[in-house]
Amino acid sequence: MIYLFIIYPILYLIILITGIINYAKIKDNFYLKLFLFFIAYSLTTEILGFVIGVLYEINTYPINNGWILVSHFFYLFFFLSLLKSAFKRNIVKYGIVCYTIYTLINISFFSDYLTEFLDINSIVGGILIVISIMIYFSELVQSDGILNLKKSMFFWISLGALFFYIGVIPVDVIAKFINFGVVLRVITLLLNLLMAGFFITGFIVSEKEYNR
Amino acid sequence: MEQERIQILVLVVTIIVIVLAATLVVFLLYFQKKKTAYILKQREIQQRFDKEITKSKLEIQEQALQNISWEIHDNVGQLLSVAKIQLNILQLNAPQEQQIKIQETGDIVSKSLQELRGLAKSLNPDAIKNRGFEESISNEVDRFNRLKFVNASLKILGEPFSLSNEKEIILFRIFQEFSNNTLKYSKAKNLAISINYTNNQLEFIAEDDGIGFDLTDESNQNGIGLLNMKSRTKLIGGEIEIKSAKEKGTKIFITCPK
Ligand SMILES: Nc1ncnc2c1ncn2[C@@H]1O[C@H](COP(=O)(O)OP(=O)(O)O)[C@@H](O)[C@H]1O
Ligand SMILES: [Mg+2]
Repeated sequence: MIYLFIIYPILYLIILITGIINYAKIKDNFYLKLFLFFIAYSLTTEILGFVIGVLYEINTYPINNGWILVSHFFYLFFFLSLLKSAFKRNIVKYGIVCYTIYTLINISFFSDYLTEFLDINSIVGGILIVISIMIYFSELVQSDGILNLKKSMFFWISLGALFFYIGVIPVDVIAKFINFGVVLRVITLLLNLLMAGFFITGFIVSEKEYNR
Repeated sequence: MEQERIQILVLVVTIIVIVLAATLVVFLLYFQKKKTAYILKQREIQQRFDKEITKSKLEIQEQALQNISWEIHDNVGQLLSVAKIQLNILQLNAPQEQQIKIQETGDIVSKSLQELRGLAKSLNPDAIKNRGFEESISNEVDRFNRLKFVNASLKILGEPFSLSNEKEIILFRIFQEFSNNTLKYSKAKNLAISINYTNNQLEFIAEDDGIGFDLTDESNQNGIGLLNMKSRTKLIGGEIEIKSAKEKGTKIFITCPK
């Protein structure tokens, strides 16, 4: 059962390979290239997590907490880069500032980064990301720019992130109170599959001219 | 047991949340599709509107040119004719030594009259209609050569056919715009024109061997001449390619469907 965790590295490996094959489509945008690095980083995290945590059964909290923080900041800056309206950008910017301050205080005084799961961080960050995706959508609805959303990698990434974070929030909340049981593991796995599906589809169907 | 129930509850909550998010996305896509359709339609309307504008501008221009043409022909032409007649009368009772001078002056007046008639014809849309595209071009070529503006040549290939009046006038105006530029800016010695009639379209090429210019240069985009050539070609459903390079001359290549 525990070996089911091998699925995660494999999943990220598939996303990474699809991304590299379709690199030409995304090479015009800095954040999309960064996204590829982020995927590579996630893959490393998952491999380390699998080797250290599952095979050697050593505590992987620092690795996982690192991933949580990096992913939150990555997505927040990613969606910030997509926004044009100054007002909406400011909302996300303040979100990022507050989140940074909160994280610093939390790690310095309350949570132990090395030995426990940064649960509140995970919840707050997830909510912030969902909010910034909603803001991005609200701008999409108003803009004339993109006439074909399906050809935009940004849109596919936002779908993947939206479903993942919106689904993972209840899990994170409840994981604070009970043990991380089978059902929660299955939910997390399904959410990851869903997200990977969106990313992979995005790499395949998006088009270069919409990824600038 | 209790833990299991809570986990199932989480599952249900997650599913609900995901479904809500999915609904949102579907709604977004639906809205976007509607909007796309709307924008496309707006664009189409805008394009049609632009076309109408270009068309009516052209009509006004043609009207103005026609008036100028009439004015030249009827007024200035009439005056010159009168001058000619008076010169003739003068010649009859002038002393011998002035006869030749008066004769020469009379010839100049006749020539002016002739040139003005030619000019009036090249301006007048009706004259272009009557003479047709090919002959109008050939007249312009003769006029350039006669006045020693440039050394112009015309080459015709293929089996000639005529286009609709509208297309012929517009094509001719494009050519006039081009030749005006050649005379004004290019310092060219030669102007080569060729008309090629193919099965389903007419190909028109005009090329000067003058100083040329940089098409990408901002300062050359201020003129409306080049823009007009493009919008006019579009109006008759043709395609135009303008090529120019410094010291290499300038060339237009137009294809117009039958
Ligand atoms: N045949 C040509 N040879 C050299 N330069 C040209 C020629 N045609 C156009 N140009 C350059 O391109 C510019 C734009 O031309 P045009 O659009 O007809 O505007 P306009 O004639 O009103 O200046 C001219 O100012 C001239 O510098
Ligand atoms: Mg001009």
